[in-house]
Amino acid sequence: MVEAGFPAGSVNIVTGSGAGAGAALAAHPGVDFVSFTGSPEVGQIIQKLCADHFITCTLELGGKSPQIVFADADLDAAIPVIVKAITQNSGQTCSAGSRILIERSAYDAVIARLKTAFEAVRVGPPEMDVECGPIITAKQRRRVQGFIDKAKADGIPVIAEGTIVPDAPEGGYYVAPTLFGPTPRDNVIAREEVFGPVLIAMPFDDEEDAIALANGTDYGLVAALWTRDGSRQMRFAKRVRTGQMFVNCYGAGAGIELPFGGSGKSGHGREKGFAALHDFSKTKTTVFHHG
Amino acid sequence: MSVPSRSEPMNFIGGEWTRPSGAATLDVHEPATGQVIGRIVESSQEDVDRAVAAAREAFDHGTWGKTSALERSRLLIRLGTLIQREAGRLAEIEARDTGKPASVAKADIVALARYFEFYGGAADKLHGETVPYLNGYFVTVTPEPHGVTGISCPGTIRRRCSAGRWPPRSRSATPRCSSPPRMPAPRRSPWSISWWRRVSRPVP
Repeated sequence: MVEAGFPAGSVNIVTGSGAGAGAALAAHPGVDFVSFTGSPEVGQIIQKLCADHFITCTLELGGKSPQIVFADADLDAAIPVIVKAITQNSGQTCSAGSRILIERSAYDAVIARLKTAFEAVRVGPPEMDVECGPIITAKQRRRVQGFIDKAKADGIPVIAEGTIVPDAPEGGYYVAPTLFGPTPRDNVIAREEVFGPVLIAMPFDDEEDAIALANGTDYGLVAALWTRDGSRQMRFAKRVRTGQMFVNCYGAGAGIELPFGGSGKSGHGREKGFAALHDFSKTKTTVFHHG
Repeated sequence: MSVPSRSEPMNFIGGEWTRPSGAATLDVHEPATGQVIGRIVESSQEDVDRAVAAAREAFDHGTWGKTSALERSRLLIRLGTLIQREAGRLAEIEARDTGKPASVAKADIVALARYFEFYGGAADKLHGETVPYLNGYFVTVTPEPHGVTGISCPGTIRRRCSAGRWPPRSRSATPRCSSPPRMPAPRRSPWSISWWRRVSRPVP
């Protein structure tokens, strides 16, 4: 940064914990704006601290983003993308596609394809360069495993699991990617963000049911629709509550050009793209009276 | 792969690696093995105060507040180029710090550089507008920076996350303090961002 020529003080970095440095930053009277990415619980704390000195913030919180798959979906295209959307970064992105909603008539066929693809996912250390890596901390690993264990205890069927490679170092934070289904709509794993490589499958009956299911969590960050029906694409694009809607794709390279952000428990404000320039600025209206 | 370790965790404030006010540190664990690979500062109120003060100074009185859109554009683009130059080493650190597969870490660094390229190109293209009004009046609506902005991001997408927030703000001439918080457990992989700053400027 210094080599690039950024003047002293233009960028400063302090590390620390949320309770310490994070809260101090949001609360500091010398700060005019805050951008926070993290859990919804801490996001609420940050926003309240911002309110105390009348500044705004953008919040990038969690997600429980649905992949909505109709019977006419191109599964050759969809399946690899859907698997990658939950195993990439070990499912540790706010934008992870952590639910797959499947038209009931196609449920068995889609699950069969997903099962095969999921079982091929390997988890290992970076140098092995496999499909999935470890969870970021020991604590987070326990949390993810806790969700998996509870879902199993609740009797939700495990359709498939990926494999932790035999040579994975013993002390590492590895979790086997897990596909559950069919998942009861009121189960905690159907509604809460796991933040790990866990995909839950649910059947739906028709378009109205799919939209209700897609919109049926507190989150609203990313969604994807897999169908060849153009009118259906338009209807869903308008009605699904989400900041990013993908049609026959998911993520699409996550280009910087694409505004990104959520609503509800996913947060607010838009980052990336030109939208970020507007969110991260304020405006001044100047009125000249020249007569 | 060997990554040099710093003997003493520091913050980066006012263009310098700075000793923290206290001795509190957080261990950084490598997710692939669980081993401790470094330590970072657990910053105190005083450290945050110093960082905010440095940002305020740069914006209110210093060079940054007076930097033109063209110059900001060039700085951002130059930083993107430097990131590409250091891509191999940054990807190694990122992979080690977060546990992500090697090719994913490399792709993330490519995306990181792209963030600076994009906003560098946008910096001098954010226009205001005029508003038709009563006779004898001329009205403009112009975008302005907020001032000092605080950015908090998590460890799992550390670099891209911080980059995504910094350039729009930089482009609006708002210096930033960054604290990667986590509540209440220790910080996840902020080590890589500290290292990134380091490779941009060799520590004496």
